[in-house]
Order: sequence, then C-alpha cells, then structure tokens
Amino acid sequence: MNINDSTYSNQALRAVQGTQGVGKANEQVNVKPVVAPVDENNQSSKSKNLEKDKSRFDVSEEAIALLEQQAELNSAQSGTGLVARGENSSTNNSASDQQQAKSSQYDKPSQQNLSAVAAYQSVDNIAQRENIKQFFGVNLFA
Amino acid sequence: MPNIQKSSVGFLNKHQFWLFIVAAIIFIQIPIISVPFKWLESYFHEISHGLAALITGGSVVQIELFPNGAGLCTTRGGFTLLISFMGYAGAIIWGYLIYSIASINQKIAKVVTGGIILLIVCSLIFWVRDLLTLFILLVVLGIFFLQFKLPKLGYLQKLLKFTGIMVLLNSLLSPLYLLDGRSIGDGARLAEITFIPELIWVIIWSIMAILGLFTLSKRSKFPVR
Repeated sequence: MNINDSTYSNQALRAVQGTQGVGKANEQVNVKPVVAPVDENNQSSKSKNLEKDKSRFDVSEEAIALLEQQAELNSAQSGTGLVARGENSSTNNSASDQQQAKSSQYDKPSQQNLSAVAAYQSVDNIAQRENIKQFFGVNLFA
Repeated sequence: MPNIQKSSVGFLNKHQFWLFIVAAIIFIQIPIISVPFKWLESYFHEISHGLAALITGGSVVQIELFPNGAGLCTTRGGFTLLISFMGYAGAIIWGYLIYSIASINQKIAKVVTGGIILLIVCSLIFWVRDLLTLFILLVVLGIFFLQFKLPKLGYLQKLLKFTGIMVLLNSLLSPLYLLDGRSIGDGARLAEITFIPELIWVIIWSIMAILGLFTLSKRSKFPVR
C-alpha cells in the first residue's frame, strides 16, 4: 500500500472536516510498514526506505493527533465525552475529565450571571408570549 | 355607665367609615396579614377584565393570580379598550359596591357575601387552570366563607364593609405601581390604543378611587340601617 503525503493530508483534512475519511485514516494507522526485500546492495536504499517509513509514521502520528484533537473537540462540543482511544485511553480519559471538570468549574457562571441570564430569558419569554398571543388571538391583561 | 357605653357605641357608629379607613391603612402595612387582601383586590381586578370581556362579546380563557399580588387575565375577543380600562376601574367599583351594599342591611350583606362566594366558585371552575391560582383563590374564598359563617349578622356586615374599604384602598394604590417607567400593564395598553399617556389613565383611576372614598364618607354621615 503506497501512502504518500498528499493522500494523508487529504484524508486527514477530510477526517477533520468530519467526512468519511475517518475510517480510512484508521486503516492507515494499522498498516504495518512495508518491509523491503533483504538485499545487501540495497542497504542504502533500505535505510532510505526506513527513513521514508519513519517520515510516513511521523506524518501519520500527526494525523492521528489531529484526528484525536478533532474528536475531542467534537465530543466537547456535543457534550457526550465519548471518544475512541487507544490502550491508555482510560488514564487519558480520567485526566481529561479532571481537566474538563476544572475548566467547567472555572467557566461556571456566577449566581449573579445566572440570574441576569434568567432575566434576559424572561424578556425573551415576553416576546414568545406576544407571539403566542397573536397566534391564538387572545389578549393578556395584567 | 350605660350612658358612657351608649355614647362610645354611638361614636363608633358615627365615625365607623373613618375608623375602617384607619384600620385598613394600618392593615395594609402589616406584611403577611395584608397579603390575602392584596389577592382579593387582584382577583376583583382580573375578574373585572373578564366580565368586561364577557359583556362586550368576548370570552375569558384563563385567570392567573400570583403571590405578589399580580394577576393575569387571558381573554379572546371583546372590546379591548373597555377590557383594559375595567381592571383598575372594576376593582374600585367592586370595593365601592361591597361597602355600600353591605351598609344597606345586614341581610343584604349576607346575600352579597353569598353572591361573591358564588362568583369565586364559578371562577375556580371555569377560568382557573393552575395550582397557584387555585390556592390563592381558595384563600380569598375562605375570607368570604368565614364572614358568611359568622354567628352574628352585625359582625358580617362590619367585616364586609371593612373588606370593601380594603379593596378600595388597594385599588387606589395599585395603579401607582404603573408609574415605573416601563410600558407594561393596562395603562400602557390604553396608551397604545388611545394615544393618551399612561399617566393620564393612572390619574383617572386614582380620581375614581378618591371619588369613591369621598362618596362613601359622605354617605356614612347618613347611615342606612
């Protein structure tokens, strides 16, 4: 299986964009490096290949990191918190959970802000009430 | 001694109206005890909106009352101008009528109390849709029911008069809450319909309440038994 940088970047980009490329990217991660036939004359070419492979893996790890980051971002946005991880996913999960908890506590709005939001939403309710009133043709007298 | 008693009773009867006024003003200042009377005024306010809607060909969808003395009457159809106006005006008229009809006769006082109980029960059945309003209206109903069950008709008459004064005084004060700079409420609605400023409507309601109190004070000089 020949993997070049351009396909990787394209797939990674597609994966990042949330299209069908995620599965393909995972396939690429599981692909073992192609071992070239043993040939003394080709030692230099082998080493070149290895370097090439390494560079491929480097790229793939980057892509994985990118994908993971994107997945984390997606999970954080959706609020599910379920992300497919590797072997040490549990430790990563707990650490990230703690981090999230910290950040959520930090981000938690104060009571004053909450009441302000509630007051703001009540204004929104007035508009909704007005809409309903007009829709049903009823009048409200306070 | 009997002469002193007679003269004190005579004094109380003669100045009964003003004594009720003073008592009502004191009563309004007391935090918890005054609350059911605020609800009473609020109920008469909302039912007046509702009755105005019914009289002008509309219908009442729902009546809501809130613990802070606020209320909401949802109507469909009818003459909006009159319905809006009759909230505060209606409460003033109710207060005035309760006091003056109760002054006529002790038996009539009982009939009036029965009529109000009937009205509250009808409101509960037809127009109340939430538990909070149900609770508030049951408290209001309780006030009239206790009066109705009083052993002496004389007490019923005096309590009903006092209730009328409380409603009238609350009706005098409540339009003043409209002067809060926000264009919300009956005054704002009337201003929207007629282009007459909200302040003018508040003044009209206040004058109505003051006139009602003034008329009752005049009539109290010539009490009808």
